[in-house]
Amino acid sequence: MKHDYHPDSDELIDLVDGVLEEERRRWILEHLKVCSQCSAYVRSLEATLDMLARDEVPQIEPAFFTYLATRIRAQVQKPTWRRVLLAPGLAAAAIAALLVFVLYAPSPPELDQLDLIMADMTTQELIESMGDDLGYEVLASDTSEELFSMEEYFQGETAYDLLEGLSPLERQHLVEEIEKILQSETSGSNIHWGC
Amino acid sequence: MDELGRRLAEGDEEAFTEVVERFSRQVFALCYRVLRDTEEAKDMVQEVFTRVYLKRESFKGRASVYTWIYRIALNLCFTHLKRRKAETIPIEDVAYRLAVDADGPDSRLEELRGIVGRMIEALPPRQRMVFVLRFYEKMSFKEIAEVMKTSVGSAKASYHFAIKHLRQLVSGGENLEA
Repeated sequence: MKHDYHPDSDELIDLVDGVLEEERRRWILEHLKVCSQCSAYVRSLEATLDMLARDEVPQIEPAFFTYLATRIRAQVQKPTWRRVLLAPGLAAAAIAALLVFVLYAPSPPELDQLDLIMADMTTQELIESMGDDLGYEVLASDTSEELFSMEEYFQGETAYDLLEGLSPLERQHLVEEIEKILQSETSGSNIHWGC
Repeated sequence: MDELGRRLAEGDEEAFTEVVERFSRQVFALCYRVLRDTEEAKDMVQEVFTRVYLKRESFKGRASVYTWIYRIALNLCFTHLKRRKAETIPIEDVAYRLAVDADGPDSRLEELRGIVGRMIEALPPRQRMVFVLRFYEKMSFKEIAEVMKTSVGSAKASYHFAIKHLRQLVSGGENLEA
């Protein structure tokens, strides 16, 4: 066997990984006997991987897994608009979703136009239209779980439905919150929500 | 479609419980390996299985339940890592911290975990996920390609990049090709 050239680093990684074809593996093992540079490289790979292999996943309380399915069912099967909007993070996210919709509209729409746009657009589309980065930044106030929950709860509903699904008190509260933010953001533009 | 997948897709509640019992520990390990944070990994497990529950009737059985769940977990982890992108530690900082840590006793599990965590956090998200799947989950490149919806060649290339990156952190940067 001639050893007048070196195997490349990818092959040496494959050697350590155990995925080299047998003939090639034999050639490289022979090469390592006569090449200090390649054998040092392989030793450093093995040392690195050996250290990584000693890492262990931390133990967590068994109850977390025992009741996981039950917790998920409980969480998924219960949500109602009232529950969603009473959760502080989601309420903020809902407000933010509507706020962003209005702020990013080309110009403040009239009452009838706004109703029409909102009636035609699902809230899911509204969220998707913001794009990933903006959607997360604005909507996922704390965790991606919240964003996901929000997307799931809102799927198939229109933004208009969001308002329709609230009690008069909740609706009034939400609209007041949005208007308050809009007042400060758009120097007092007066937007009516038709509710 | 296998039996468990069929029952899951039909909305069988017991099948969902079985899926959670069978895969939740593995999904936790995967999420922890990728995210390197216990609490985030727990949140992610809950998020993964919530999605499984909500989407179970759309499971078509083109891949196994295991592959489907892993794909969901990886997608969510990837999105999470993208959000954390700004916090990625520069490679120079990791190398420095590794050198500092090497002066102390490295036999303690927590310290080792910290060192390994910093090394893995230095990898870009895609390399990190491929490395975890190959090295810790012992998946073949074919399985990785399936789970990550990529080619075998691309998965292998990402793994090679990851290994070189990690070795560089430990060895201080000299390359074979140099």
